[in-house]
Amino acid sequence: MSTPSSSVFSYRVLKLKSSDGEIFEVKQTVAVQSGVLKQMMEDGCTEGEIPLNNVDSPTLAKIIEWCNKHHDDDVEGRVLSQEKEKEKEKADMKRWESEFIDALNRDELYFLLIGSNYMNIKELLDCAAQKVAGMVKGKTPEAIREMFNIQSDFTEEEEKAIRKENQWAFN
Amino acid sequence: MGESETTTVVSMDKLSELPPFIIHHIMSCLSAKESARTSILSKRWKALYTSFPILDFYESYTYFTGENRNIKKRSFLIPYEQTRKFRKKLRKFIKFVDVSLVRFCELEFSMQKFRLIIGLLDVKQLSFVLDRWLGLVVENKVKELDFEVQTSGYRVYTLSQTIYFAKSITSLKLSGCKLELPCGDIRLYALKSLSLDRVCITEEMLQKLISQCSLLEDLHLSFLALKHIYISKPQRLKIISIMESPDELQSVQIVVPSLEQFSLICKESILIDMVECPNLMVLELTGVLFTDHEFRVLISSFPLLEDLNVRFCLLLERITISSNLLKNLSISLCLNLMAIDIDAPNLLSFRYYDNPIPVSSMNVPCPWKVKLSTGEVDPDTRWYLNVKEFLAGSKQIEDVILTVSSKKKNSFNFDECRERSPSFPCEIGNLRVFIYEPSEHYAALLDGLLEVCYPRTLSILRYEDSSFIEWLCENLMNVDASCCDSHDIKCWRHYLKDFKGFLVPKIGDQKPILVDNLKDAPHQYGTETFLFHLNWCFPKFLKKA
Repeated sequence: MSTPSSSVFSYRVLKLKSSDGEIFEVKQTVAVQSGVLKQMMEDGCTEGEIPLNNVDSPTLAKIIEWCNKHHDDDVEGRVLSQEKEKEKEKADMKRWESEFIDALNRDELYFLLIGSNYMNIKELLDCAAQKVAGMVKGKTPEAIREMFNIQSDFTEEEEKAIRKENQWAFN
Repeated sequence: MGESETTTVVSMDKLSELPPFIIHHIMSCLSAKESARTSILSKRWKALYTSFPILDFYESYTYFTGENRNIKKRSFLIPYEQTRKFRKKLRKFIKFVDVSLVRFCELEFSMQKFRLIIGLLDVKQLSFVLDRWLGLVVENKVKELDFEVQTSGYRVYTLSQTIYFAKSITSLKLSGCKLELPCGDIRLYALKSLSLDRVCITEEMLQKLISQCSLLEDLHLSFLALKHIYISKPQRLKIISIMESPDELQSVQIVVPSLEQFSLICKESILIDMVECPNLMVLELTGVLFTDHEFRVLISSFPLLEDLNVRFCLLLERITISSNLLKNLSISLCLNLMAIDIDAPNLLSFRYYDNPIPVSSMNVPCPWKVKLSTGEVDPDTRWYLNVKEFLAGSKQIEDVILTVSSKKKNSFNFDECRERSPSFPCEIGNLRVFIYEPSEHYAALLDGLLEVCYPRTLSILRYEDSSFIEWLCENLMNVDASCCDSHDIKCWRHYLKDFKGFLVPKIGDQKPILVDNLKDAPHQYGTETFLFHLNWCFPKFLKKA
């Protein structure tokens, strides 16, 4: 893997500038979780403030909170830790993740989807997408529309035609 | 939380406004039917679904799955009556796939993934439909193709030749169909991962297919019913797995210097030639019937081996391993194993599960995990001693699982034990016991267990009759240490300082509950396991250096 060795980057800090002009300082070792920032570091263009035009400050704060939690200080030294501990850590992390995502309101969740996609943080994007998918699962189209305020712009006939064409899926 | 804003003003539909890529990501977390159903939400959603580049379709006929997956065992005569319902379903399904596929292809986007699992009753009638779909999929530059055709086995679908010219495919999984030798060269130029499961293929075709995919990295072959498998050529091939049912495979020859991982599941005695795979690091062997000598020869061709997992190899009687690089070793279910000689100073994990108690010579300083059972013999002092001796070969033991059951007798004599093995039992982390014994055996059992090792925790699975736990609570509370006067090494009663009982909740991550009144303990709650924390206190001269 081409992850930069921690010794080179660990003490250096990136300055991220949110769309509303707030500056956030993030350790390089934490920032590598963002595909975009990682690429910039590898290309050596992380001097000064890095503008993130698609991410506002509350969202960026959330994203950094996530990355800090998922950043492992001493990966090498922990390889030896026992399987059980690893499993427990995994379960703890899962719980933290779902609490983190569940605490967001709808708008925050959308901004987080956009932000994590823009910064290319795969795990966070997955987690947020799973959350939305979980809200859709097992619901009728009517219930989904109501939940997300989606206005149907189909006529009755059009809707019928779609149901007929996709009969397999609506059974 | 998160629902509050629905009550304020008429809120906006922000979900639909998300970029298509994100919506598609959300769809990929839904089932095929669920994501298809979003197309009715609004025109935007219909367009979003139409352009969703993961096309996932499945309609299995239950008769073709489960136990009947093995084509050979399938009878192909299914009464028409029984299939009527499925035929109706299948018609709807085929129409759905057809419409979705054509609609997506009109957009001329490239397809990320196409998965089709279909149960076919009339292969002849529907072959052309499958051919057409594959044509469309290949034309739209599919990257991942997962294609499973379940048939009666009487007639099999012959895979359309267009597949062999799909330059965009990086991952190809085929199941249930027949692969015929194409006229020209195979042009799967981007293929990295190939998986063939229950396909009809000749040895010649398999060899040609593999040797012409020069970028291939992973190869998985299962139930191909071939006698000989020969794999060579792809220079980046790293992972191979082969699974075969008994009575088929006779030889496997692999000439792939880049190979790092190999797994073979096959209950058969077969010839394995892997001399040309010197870079192998991970090896898993299940069911293979080789002799001690054949095993040793095979292992010796892999100087870089780090992970070795040997399961259910019934001819093995003695395993000898000496390696400085080996990191993980697992030996399980080798039911005829009698001896192990292992010199692996850098091992990180050692697992010895469900094999007989071996005679052993061990240099394995890492923590051990051991699972032993009395099996067919009634446990006596000698049995407990054998366990003790085997465990004594370790520096640290994390987990020991013992299953004890006897037909008639369970006997243990401490004096005999002290005489024959005057050493101190080793301290271990957790001892987990499964006991299938009548109550008159409890005393011998407890003495035996606690002369085998001194566990820091002792866990016992509760079953309907929790009488052993009750008995144990009673006996641990009233230890009578008036024995062993004239001996330096005394029995466990003299070293047990105190203990605590805990109930472990069924639900995984809850903490064990301390039980104050042990007398009532076995009847409390709906817990599964009872845990004793045992606090040992040994005289100084007995402590290990």
